[in-house]
Amino acid sequence: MSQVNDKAVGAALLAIGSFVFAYYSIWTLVIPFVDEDHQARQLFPPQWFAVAIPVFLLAVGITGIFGFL
Amino acid sequence: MTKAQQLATAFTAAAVGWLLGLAGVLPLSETVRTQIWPVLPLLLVVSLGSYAFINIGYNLLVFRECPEAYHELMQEIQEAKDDLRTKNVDIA
Repeated sequence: MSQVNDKAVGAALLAIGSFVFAYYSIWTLVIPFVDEDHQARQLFPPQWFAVAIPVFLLAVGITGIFGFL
Repeated sequence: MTKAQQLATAFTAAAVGWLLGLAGVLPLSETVRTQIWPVLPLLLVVSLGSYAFINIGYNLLVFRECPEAYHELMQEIQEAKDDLRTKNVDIA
């Protein structure tokens, strides 16, 4: 049994979940309407990654799950 | 109608609506139709995942430990052990 505090794990999960949700929502719903030369675009990778990263993670995850069945 | 049937109906309706939007039947602006609409299912999956994270994380954070119940339980365990020992059942 590790000594990692339960509350710390909870706080970390909460922070990660909130950040991922906010970042991805802005990335997919807001950025397409922003001009090419607006400085906000520099905070986000190109739109291609907005599709590539989740699809890749899903493929890896589902392969991993079915690999153990 | 069971919960599963309700969920399946809602999911099918959403899927048909999404496919119609892709096919160009719905009145969507060009940016929405090409950039945003195709990504909506992925956004749904990511949202579900982060909702799960947030839910578990929040409940871990606010879970109240009960020291009184813990001590009471340890005492009851001790009493039970002593009681069984008098009846010649040896539990560590």
